[in-house]
Amino acid sequence: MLPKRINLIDKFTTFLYVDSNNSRITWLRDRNLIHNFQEHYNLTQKYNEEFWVEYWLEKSRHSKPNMFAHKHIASYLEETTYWLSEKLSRIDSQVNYSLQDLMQVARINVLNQEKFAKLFKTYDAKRGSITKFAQYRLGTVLSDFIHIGQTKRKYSDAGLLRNVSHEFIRDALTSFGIQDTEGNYKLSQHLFAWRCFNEIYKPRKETGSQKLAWPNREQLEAITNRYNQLLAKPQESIGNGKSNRWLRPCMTALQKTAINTKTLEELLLTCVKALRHDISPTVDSLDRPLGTAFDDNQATLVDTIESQDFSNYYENAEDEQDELLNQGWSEIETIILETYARLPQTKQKMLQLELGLRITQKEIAHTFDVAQTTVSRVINFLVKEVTGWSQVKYSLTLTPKQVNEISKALDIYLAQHFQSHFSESLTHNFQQLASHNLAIFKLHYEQNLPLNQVAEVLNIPESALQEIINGVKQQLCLKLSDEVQKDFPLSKDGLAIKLDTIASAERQISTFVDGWLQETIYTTPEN
Amino acid sequence: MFEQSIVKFIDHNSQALNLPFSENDREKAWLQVNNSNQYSNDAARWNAFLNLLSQNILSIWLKKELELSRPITFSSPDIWEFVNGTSFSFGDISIGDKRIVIIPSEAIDNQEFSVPQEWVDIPKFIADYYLAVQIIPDELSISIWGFTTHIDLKTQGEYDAIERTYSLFRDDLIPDINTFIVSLEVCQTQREVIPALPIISTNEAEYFIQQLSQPSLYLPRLDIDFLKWGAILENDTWRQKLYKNRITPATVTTPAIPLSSWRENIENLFDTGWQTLEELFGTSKVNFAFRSESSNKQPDANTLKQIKELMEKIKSSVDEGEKQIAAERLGKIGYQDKEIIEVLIYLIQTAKKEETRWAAAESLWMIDPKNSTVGVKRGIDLGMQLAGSPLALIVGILEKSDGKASILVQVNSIEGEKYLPSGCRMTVLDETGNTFSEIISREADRVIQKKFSGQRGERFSVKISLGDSCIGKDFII
Repeated sequence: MLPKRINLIDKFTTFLYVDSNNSRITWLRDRNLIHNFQEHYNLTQKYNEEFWVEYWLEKSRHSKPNMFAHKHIASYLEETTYWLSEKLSRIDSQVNYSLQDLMQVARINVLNQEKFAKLFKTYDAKRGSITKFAQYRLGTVLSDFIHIGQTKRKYSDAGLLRNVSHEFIRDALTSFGIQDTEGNYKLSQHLFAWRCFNEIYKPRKETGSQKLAWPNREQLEAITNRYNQLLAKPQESIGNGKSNRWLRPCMTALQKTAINTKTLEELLLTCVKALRHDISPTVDSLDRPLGTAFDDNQATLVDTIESQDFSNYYENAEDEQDELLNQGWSEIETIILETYARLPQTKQKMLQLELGLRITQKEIAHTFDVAQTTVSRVINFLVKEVTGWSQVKYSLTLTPKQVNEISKALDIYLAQHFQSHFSESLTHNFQQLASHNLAIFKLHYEQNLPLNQVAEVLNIPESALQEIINGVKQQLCLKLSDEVQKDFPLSKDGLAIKLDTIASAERQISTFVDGWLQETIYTTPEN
Repeated sequence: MFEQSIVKFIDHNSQALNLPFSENDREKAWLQVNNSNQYSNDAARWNAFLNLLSQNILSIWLKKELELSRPITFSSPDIWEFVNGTSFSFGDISIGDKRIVIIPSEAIDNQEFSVPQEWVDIPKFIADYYLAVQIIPDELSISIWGFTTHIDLKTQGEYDAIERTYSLFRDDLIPDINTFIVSLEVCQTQREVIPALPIISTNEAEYFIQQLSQPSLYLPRLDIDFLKWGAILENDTWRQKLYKNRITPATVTTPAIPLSSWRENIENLFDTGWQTLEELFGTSKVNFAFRSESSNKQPDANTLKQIKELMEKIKSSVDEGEKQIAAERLGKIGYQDKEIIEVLIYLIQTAKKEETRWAAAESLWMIDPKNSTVGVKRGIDLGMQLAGSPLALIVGILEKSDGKASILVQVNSIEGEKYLPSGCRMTVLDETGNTFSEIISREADRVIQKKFSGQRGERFSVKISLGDSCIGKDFII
């Protein structure tokens, strides 16, 4: 169980330690962070969390950032990191990463100043909490990491070298410990070798490029020649400050060292090693930026932290949507709903499935036997209507980024619209199905009592409780399926299309019902 | 709820639009690019393959998605010999004359989107939208994972001066392809105003086309200055000519003239037309030097005394100006004598200033025209190539004591003491095609010249243009 952090200072200065079999989870203090926090705390005397999130964020974005600022935020985000890693470590994949692996990857991204800045560049406190933003951003980082980890295995060494971006290999080399220092531009030299390899070494068949063979002597020579030739060229354009990638002093230094084929091959092999190297097997590399944080002698924090469940951590997950919708959106609600009402029945259903139940366009297209573009065009039609309306209304010319904002908001608005409709239907059915068992749901979901405690309070065996809950759940799922199924179009052969032909429908409906059970307010029906 | 947010972001990642293709599509594209030497090297061929395949698959999707009534116009396939990317232009009423550029990449990580400068800075090439396309031929998969606009590339893109690309991180792209479809219809043009490329003359273009026609194992886009490169690509005729030259291996291009072979007096195939100055000018200009051995009479005592003083000055004076004057006077006297020649050679090798060195060399060749101990000078009659103008290009090389060489390039009138026509332009370019010196003759110039030094093995080129005609020569030191 994840212990909860109570004190303000703990929330910004401690990090989780999870031992290798997940049995011991403790918070560990970072001395430097505590010192830094206290210094600033004494100056401001502020007590609320939000203030400090904004405070450190601003300090981290300053032109001369406080060197601990982003680490305070990183500490604040530890629970997010933990939960994300925990969930994603259970994702079914060919390469299984442990919770610890994933936490480490996430932390590398928040503890590194440069990466942190990139990750949180677009964060705006007005749009929602930083934990939610981090959940999304780190989620992307981690699922990418898992995806790439899987993908890499399909590539030969040469294939892998050819198929990564400059940014990716630069990152891999850096984490592998290859860096540019004054007078020794190792990182740039590797990158330069890699770019020449990539420029020249290409597959000669339309298949098998993933398993491309390592270049032969002659090819390596050609790459070496290109390396030396390109460096011998005067690079006037580099000095003008336009390029951040290749710095003038670095190029000048590299120009002085022509290389031979052997050196080139060594450089390329190091690149391969760096790319293959996923995460360090020990937590060690991560510990370093934290100083003495994980020193066992300091692991006393657990005493001061109350042990509490974190399952309600994400209870306010809908804030962001409200936020977006409050921004003048009520005004065009009518436009959206009117346009929606004008859509033929089938298209309305498609939207309901896509936005209300988050069923993919691909599945919808498959079930309705139409092209995926037909599905995507439905929402496009709405976006166009709304965009057109706002262009006229405010005499604006919108940029694609603004169109994207509108599209996102429209998604959220319609999703909410559909989901509240589903919720109403569930509320109605629940009252019919379970009004006599209301107490069970109230205690278990609203008051968060574990089932064994509910059993004690109501004096009903736990297994019977479980059965009742499952029964109601099942019934609700059926009712909701019926609701969604209503007005389903006929297939081309004139047969009714069945919701259960959509593979993910059952899961999505069940997820929705679960969510509803968690969040609804259980009241006694009025009659 | 947390479950759901997870599902949401994983969904978000797959906002990319996937367009699977068949083995047949892949094979068709490969056969098409591989057919009858359409591309000059592996890099271009693979580039063409990825682009053609992407073009085929994406155009089917776009036609459907946009319900186009008119066909899409694509950039010409010869562009793949030079750069990655393909443009799609629409003439459809609903879209207007908007253009998109697709940039395929095989990178598995989709962390950045790099667009070659050609698609951003060549006015005729620029587009409104740029699509990031990931293509993995082995998996029969193409996906569009984001898009951006010309304005965003220009204002937010990071420029890489070595690769000549503008790059955006994934976060700076719009990942939602539906937004692209909607924007294409509802948004105005997304092009930033960019300056026109400087105009280059036909002669200059010809010169670069010849240079870029040399076979290479990579796309030649980084070989010359971007503005010149852009100007050649933008002009259909020039681009196609360069394309033809590159894919036809038999193209005869005149290789660089090795200056060292002149000194060693090796007959060189490419030297046709290069003559010694006596051959070139007859007696008219090198009258001193052309007198016969027999006319080399012993000078009078006074002159001998003068010669001695002059030689002494060259050996011992600390003022290089004085040495230069002394060397020039020795040349004027013109007495052929072993000792004088040695002194002049000594000065050529040790002088600090190019002026002094060349003055000494001139004197040496006045006294002993065939002396090639430290250097040599030859010329070519440009009359045939420069619309009959009686001009000669003279190139000289002197070996310096530090292992480098001094180079002289000079345009002379070939007819006696006549002036050069004004507006005659002599340009010296380095190996990369960058101009490092340009001299234009004014009224009453007898000669335009440039002296510089270089390493053995280095290349340089000289272009001479007059009015509409132009000639270029490549040299290797």
